[in-house]
Amino acid sequence: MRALAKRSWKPADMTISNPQEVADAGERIYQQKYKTSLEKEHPGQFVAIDVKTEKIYVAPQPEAALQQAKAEAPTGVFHLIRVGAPGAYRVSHVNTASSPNRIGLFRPHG
Amino acid sequence: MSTPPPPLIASGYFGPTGDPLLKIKLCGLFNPAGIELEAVIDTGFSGFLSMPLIQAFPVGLTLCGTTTVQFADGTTGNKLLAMGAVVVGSITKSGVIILQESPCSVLLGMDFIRTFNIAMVMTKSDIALFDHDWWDKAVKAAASATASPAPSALPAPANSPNPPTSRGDPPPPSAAPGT
Repeated sequence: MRALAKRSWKPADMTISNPQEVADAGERIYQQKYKTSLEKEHPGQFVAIDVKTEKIYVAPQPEAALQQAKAEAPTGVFHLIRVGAPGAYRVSHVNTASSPNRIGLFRPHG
Repeated sequence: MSTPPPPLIASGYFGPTGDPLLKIKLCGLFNPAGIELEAVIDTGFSGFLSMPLIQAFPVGLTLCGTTTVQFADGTTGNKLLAMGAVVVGSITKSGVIILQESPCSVLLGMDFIRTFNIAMVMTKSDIALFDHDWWDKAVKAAASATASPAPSALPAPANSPNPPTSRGDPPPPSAAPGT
């Protein structure tokens, strides 16, 4: 029981542990593996990147890309990108988050 | 055979600060019938729906991943994404919802307009959301009804020997030289 209590649970196939890391991994996979070919073949379309398997699901609409991804990889963790654009979406306001480029859901302890 | 949507899907209104607003219902696992929300129609937002995370808690949306958003000043930020169903009038459609960590307005963007197939008419005092296909037919019918206007009452241009009889008609030929 002591050995079980000491062991911290982590999924065997996941080294990503928070939403910010999902986004970072998605961007990295896109830049390294898919950016050049997707910008040539699917400009303006949406890509759902499974950060666990590094597979991509491309569709003209974001809903279709995510639904396709979910159907093929029900346990996948996805980052959505729009090919050729700085962001999958544009908003008309400026960022007011305390940590501008990070998903800051909780304040750090201490 | 599916019932065609009504011509007028919903009416919006202007808030105290002048923002165009629309009442919607957002449906999720905890509230299948939907929670009513007041949303700003923001045509500068390219997505379907954006809302504060705290307002999404009681709905029970399905989380589906992360994305990158570009802000008005050109900077980018990462956000959580969820899927949810929005009800406007008698129509329900699903779409991707951006969850914002900080307090903000619920926003409806251009993907909302496209997904619901809406023709939005906004005047200084009213906001009406029509079914786009109905609106398209109505506009084309009105355009063809005005395609052959009655003879123009426009005044003739100064010094013109041959005032036009109607818009677009060529002037009558002038007398041949030498006759």
